[in-house]
Parts: sequence; C-alpha cells; structure tokens
Amino acid sequence: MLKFIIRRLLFMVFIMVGISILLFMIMYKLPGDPARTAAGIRAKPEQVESVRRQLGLDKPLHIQYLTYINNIFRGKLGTSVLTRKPVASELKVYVPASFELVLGAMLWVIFFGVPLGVFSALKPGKLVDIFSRFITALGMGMPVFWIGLIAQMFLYGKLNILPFGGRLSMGLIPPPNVTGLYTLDAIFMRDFNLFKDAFVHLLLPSFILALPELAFISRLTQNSMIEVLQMDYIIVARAKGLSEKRVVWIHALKNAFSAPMTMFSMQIGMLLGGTILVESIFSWGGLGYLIFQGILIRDFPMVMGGTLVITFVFMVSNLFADILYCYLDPRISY
Amino acid sequence: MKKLLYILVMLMLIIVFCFVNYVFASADQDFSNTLVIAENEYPSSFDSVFADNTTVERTMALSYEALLRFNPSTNELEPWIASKWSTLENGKVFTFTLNQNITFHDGTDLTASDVKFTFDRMREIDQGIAYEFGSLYRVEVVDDYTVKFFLSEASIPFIKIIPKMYIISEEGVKANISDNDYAMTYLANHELGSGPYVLTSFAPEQQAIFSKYDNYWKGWEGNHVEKVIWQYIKESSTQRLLLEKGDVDIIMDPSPDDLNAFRDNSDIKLAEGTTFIEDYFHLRTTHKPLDDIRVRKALALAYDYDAHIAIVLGGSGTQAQGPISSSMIFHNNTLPITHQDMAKAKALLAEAGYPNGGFTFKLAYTGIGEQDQRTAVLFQSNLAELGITVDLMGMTWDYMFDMEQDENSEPDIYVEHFYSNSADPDSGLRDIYHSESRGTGSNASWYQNPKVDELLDSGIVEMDLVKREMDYKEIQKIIAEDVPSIFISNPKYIIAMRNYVNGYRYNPVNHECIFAYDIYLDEKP
Repeated sequence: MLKFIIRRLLFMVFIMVGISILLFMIMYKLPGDPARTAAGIRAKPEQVESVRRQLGLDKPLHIQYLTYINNIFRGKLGTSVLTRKPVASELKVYVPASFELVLGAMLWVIFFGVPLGVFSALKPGKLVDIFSRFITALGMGMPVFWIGLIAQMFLYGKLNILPFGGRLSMGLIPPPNVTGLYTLDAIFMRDFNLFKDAFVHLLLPSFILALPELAFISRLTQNSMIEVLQMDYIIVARAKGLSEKRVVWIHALKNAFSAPMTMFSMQIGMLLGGTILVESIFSWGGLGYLIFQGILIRDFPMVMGGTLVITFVFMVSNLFADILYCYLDPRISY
Repeated sequence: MKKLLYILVMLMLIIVFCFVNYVFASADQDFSNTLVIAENEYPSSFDSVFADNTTVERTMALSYEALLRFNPSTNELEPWIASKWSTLENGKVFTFTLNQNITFHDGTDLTASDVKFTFDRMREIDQGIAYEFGSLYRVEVVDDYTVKFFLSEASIPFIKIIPKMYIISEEGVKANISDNDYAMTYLANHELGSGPYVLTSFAPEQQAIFSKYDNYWKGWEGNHVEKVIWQYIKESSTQRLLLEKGDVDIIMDPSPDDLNAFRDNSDIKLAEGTTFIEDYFHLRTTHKPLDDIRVRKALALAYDYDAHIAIVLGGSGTQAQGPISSSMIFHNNTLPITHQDMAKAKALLAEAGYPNGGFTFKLAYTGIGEQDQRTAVLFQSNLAELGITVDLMGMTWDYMFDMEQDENSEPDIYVEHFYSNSADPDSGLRDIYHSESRGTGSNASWYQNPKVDELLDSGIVEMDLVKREMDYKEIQKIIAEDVPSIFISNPKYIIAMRNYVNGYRYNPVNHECIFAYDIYLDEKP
C-alpha cells in the first residue's frame, strides 16, 4: 500500500506539471491583453507596455512559464493582475470559502443522501421511496442555477426563514482568519452567535450544491442495497434470527456502502470545481467565481493558481477514494 | 451505523436550533442610521490611483476626497479640499490653496505635501487615472497649504479632471510599502483617505463596511448616515428581492425589466441622473463599403432609435444629438436628430450601388450584460430589412479593445459607449475622433479629418470661452456630417432605492458614486 501511495504521489506531480503547461498555453492563446486590463481601458500604449514589462509579460512564453514554475517552488504563485495582491494570499481567502461550501455539501450527501437511499431500498413504493425519486429527479434533471434561484425566492423571499445568501448577515464582521471557514473560526473564537449565523448561511447554498451528488449517491446507495439485500449471506443472517436492524445497518450497508462512498470521494474535486453557479447565486465569494472572473479579465496568475488548487484537490480525493476502497473491501489490494 | 444515526440526529438538532435563533436574532442588529447598498462587483483596490475604475471610485466617494468637486446643479467646479484655486500663464500653471483643518483617517494632517505626493506617486505608478494627467509634469509645494501644478503644455480642460484625483496620505503610504510596491498591496484591502467614512471591514465578494469618521473636517451636524454597508450581490434578481423586502436601501444594478416593477411599487423610488454618457455604433471607415459616406448615412437611417430607448434603455434615456452627450457644455443643439427612415436608407444605398444591400457586416459588442446584446440584435434586425446581413461577435471588452486598435481586424461595426471623466467635451471628442487616436482603441472607426484635428488642438488651449464654444460646436457639426459613428443615445443613470432614503444626487463626473455624507434616512419601517 505504501508503495502504491508513493507511486500515486509522484504521478500527481507529473500530472500537475502537465496541467500547468496546458493551462499556460491556453491562457496565452486566449484573445485579450492582461496588461491592458491592469493598466486600464484608456491607458496610453506606452503605459500598457510599462505594465507589460512590470508583469513580465513581454518575455518569451517559455521564460514566463519557467519563471512561474520557479516561483511556485519558492512558494509564490504570482501577483493578481486585478488586485495586485499575491495570488497565494487571495487563495487563502477564497479556497476556504469554497471548501466550507463543499464540506457542507458533503455532510448533506453523507447524512441525508445515504440514509435516504437505504430507506428507499427498504421501503420500495412507499412515501420515502417516492420522496427519493423526487430528489433524484430534482437533483439530476433540474439545473442548479434554476433550483437555487427558486429556493432563494421561496425560502428567503416568501417565507423569510433562510438568508438570501452571503456567508454572514449584513453588518457582521467575519471572525479572525484561522482556517478561513467562518463556522470553524467562530467556534475557535467562542463566538456562538457568529457560528449560528455562519451555519445558517451555509445551509441553503451547500444543499443546492449537494443536490446533484445527493441524488446520485442516494440512487446508487439504493441500488447497492437492493442488490446486497438479495445475497445469500443476508438470507442466512435473517435465518439465524438476527434483528432486521442489525441485518440492514451492520451487515448489508457495510457492503453496499463501498461503491457510493468511493464514487463520492472522487466527486469532491468536481464539487470544488463546480461551485461557481452556487457562489454566484448566493454571493458566496469562493474559488469558482474567482477563477471565472480571472478568465474574463485575463488574470493569468489567478486562473493558474486557482486551477492548480482544484487539480490538486481532485487528485488527492481520487487517491483517498482508492485507499478507502481498499479499507472497505479487504479483498482489494494494490 | 448507530453512530451515524446519532450524528444525523445531532446535526438535525443543530440545524433547527441555529435557524430558529437566526430567525429571531436577525432582528437585533440596528440599521436605523445605516445605509445598505447592494452592488454586483466588489472593488479590486482602495487605491486612489485606480479611480478611473467606477467600482473602485465608489469607495473613493466615501473614504477619500479630491481638491475640487463637480456640482451637477451649477455645472461648475466647487471647492473641496482646496478652498480656492487660480490659473496662470494661459492654463499652464494652477495654484490651489488648501483648507487647514483636514486630517486623514490615520490621524495625520492633510497638507500640500500630501497633494504633491499623491500626484508624484500617480505618475510613477503610471496606471489607472494617470493617463488623464499626461500634461502634468511637476507639482510644487509653496507652503504647507499651497500647492502649484505645472503643465508641459497649456490645457484648459485640465482643471476639470481634478475631481477624479483623490488625495492619499503620504505617511500612510510610506508606512505600508512592501517590496517597492507603492503600498498597492496594502491598499487592496485598506484605505488611506480623509473622507467622511472609514473602512472598518472588508470581505471581498461579501461586504465592505464603512463607519463615520468622527474627526471629519466638515463635522456631523445635521442629518447624515453614520454607517454604510456595501453588500456585494451578483444577481440583479436577488438585488431586487432584497430591495422589495427592505433588507437593502439602494440597489445599483436594476435591470431594465425591473424598472417597471419598481415604478409600480409605492415603497420604492427610482433616482434618475443625467449622464455624460453616449452610446454609439462606430463604423470602421477604412473597411468597404463603410468607406462610402452614403452607406454610413443609410445605416444611421436604418436604426430604430425609438425601440432602443424603449426596450434597450427601458425608457431611461434620450436619443443622441451629435457625437457628445446633450448635457455636456458646448453641446451643439442645432444638429439634426436622426430618425429611422427606411425609404431614405434604401435610396442612399441604391445611390451607392447597393440597391438590395447584399453585403455582410461583422458587428462586435461586449458579450457580458444585456444592453449591448440587445442593441446588437436590434440593429441586426433593422439592417436585415435593407438586405444587409450582420454577423454578431460577442466578446469581452479587452478583446474588443484589441480589435479596435487593429486597423485590419475583422469587425466592421462596434457597439460602444463613452463615459467622460470630466465635464469637458474635449476628452470624448479627442479620444474618439482625433486622428492621433487611431490605433489606441478609442477611435474605433479609424476616423480622420484634418479640420477636426486642427480645431481640437486649438480648442484645448483657447482661453476665450466664446471662441472655444464655437470651435467645439463646429467640431461636432463636422463629425455629424461625416457619420463615422451612429450616435444612438444618452442613457440616464438609474438606481432604485427605498422611499425613506433622501439626499441622493447623481454626479456625472463621479459616475455611479454615492456621496453618503449627503444622504439621510427617514425612519425605516
């Protein structure tokens, strides 16, 4: 197993280099001029050229790339064209914001999606199964953008039971940055009012983000459970007189769990990369929208930095999925 | 799995507890004298050098001040940090005398040294608003409260750009320089101004909170809001929802479709401002068949201006009359206003040798935002009636700007706007129609006329206001006759606000800025 992990980590480095080269070339080829963006739309040509030299954009492409890689090894991800701040310091703010959203989505999937799948497998045709199908149709058939806006209009606009968006209520000052996750940082500060506020703001956006995954995982769990419940060892367990609860939650679920969980682990990176719509609707201020804005204004360093973070998380989550699979099914070994 | 169930139950209890507390606790915050503004874009910086960016300038209006301010009621400049000013040597030297009781938020006094430092720093950085001050070559401190500006060449309009240069604390900048960055990194999240409000909290993409500066030199007697919260909300539909519920007081980005709903809402009022903005189609005069003036005139006659005002602008704006905004000084109001006339357009095309159209134009517009897209689609449908095909090219503004700089680029027509940074017609006419602007991107039509160049070059140094007015009116007449652009509209600037908001006044020089110090609130329901 250790050899497998080391091999995968080395492979990750190789993939990251490849992604960075590809991304660099794509950004370079995109129309538009980042020096113009930084200098201002009505800047004179000589001002634009001065900015181009400051940003190192006048150098040949391969020199720009090597300089960038060299800086990465020194812990620098470049300077944002838009904000003129180090990209690393910007990512420290935006990545935790997206991560908090993804973490919330994961909790929805694990603690709502999986039990929903189990119950709908146990009670086919009943209310819980119908509800599960509704969630599946909603999550997999409706666009996130549409559901998010409708939920916002109804739960905030009509019922006023959840906030419209944002990470905190208007006028509240964010907690000092420890992890960047407002919920956790509020706990570290022992400000439970702030924690409550941050937690409630997280509920709806994380649920909307989770919805497609939740639908997928609940369906997968349901199918896995149905398959496992028909296996011989389950019949034997029942014949031996074990309680139905024990049969389902101890014996059946453990075996049915492996497929959904490994699939879900692989989806974490995709969740992180897919937050842009939810962040836009709920004014969340995370990595997705940062990268989107970076593409629009040709903020190369920001796009590179943000994309490399997502790539890294994606590969780590895949590795984690493989390790988890091994743990859940002892027959698997690498 | 029992543990899983326990965790699930705990989570459900936390959710219920938190949201019940939230619903009751959220009423505890006191917003009675707080102005809450919804805006879709957060500022990339609080550095006064980048005041050419409207999103940045909005925060300038709260935390910084300039030497002078433009008064839209009188159309004149009025004293601000400077109590008086004078001009010498035919517009080459400007002297400003400063008020003496002004302090920055960092506690330091605002003196002539800070003014000199602000302009020297701007010229060294050479970005942002610096392009407007190209003729300024030296700033001299005469004494603590007197400063002189020396221009390399006389420029009558120079004084009118002064309201865009916000004075920054010299000591504050020097204390926060890192890696020779002119404190730009520090200013990405902090401000160093002397204005009525201090930035107390900034969470990018979330909100910026400004609280009143107790030592503000104009004092706090009378009615003023004490706190301003900028809430960054991307979606205009969400902004609308918040305004209708009363959770924000002003929204900056109402869509044209929302305006009618707001007009029917008795709790909301619209504030309209007359801008210096003009919308255009720039016609690439170096591309065939647009090099033929008859074809350009035919296109100008083909556009449905009434539909543009009603649908694209949502009724908020007027048709343009010539190449500059009708509200700008020296506007030539004798110029004809073009109305759609398809018969005349067809006749002109026939005269030019295109009785049934039969050619294709590429039309470039910025693809983000509905207005330009609607403008482009409307023109496409109008020209189809003349047998002219229009291929639409939606793109980002910087890509479009690159194309405007390149004479051989594909697009034949550009949907464009001009936002003037000053209350003087020179910048708009010079940027867009002087032959030296060809290749800079602003002169997208690649227009040139030696007479226009001559009049612009003499007008910028003309001290006799009557002569200057005549010259600028002549410039507008020549350009209107040459039709390098179709002059579409002068849009009004509209924001929506709750009825209890008072004191807001639009300033066309500080476009989209809210001078919150002038605003006061009636009791909020």
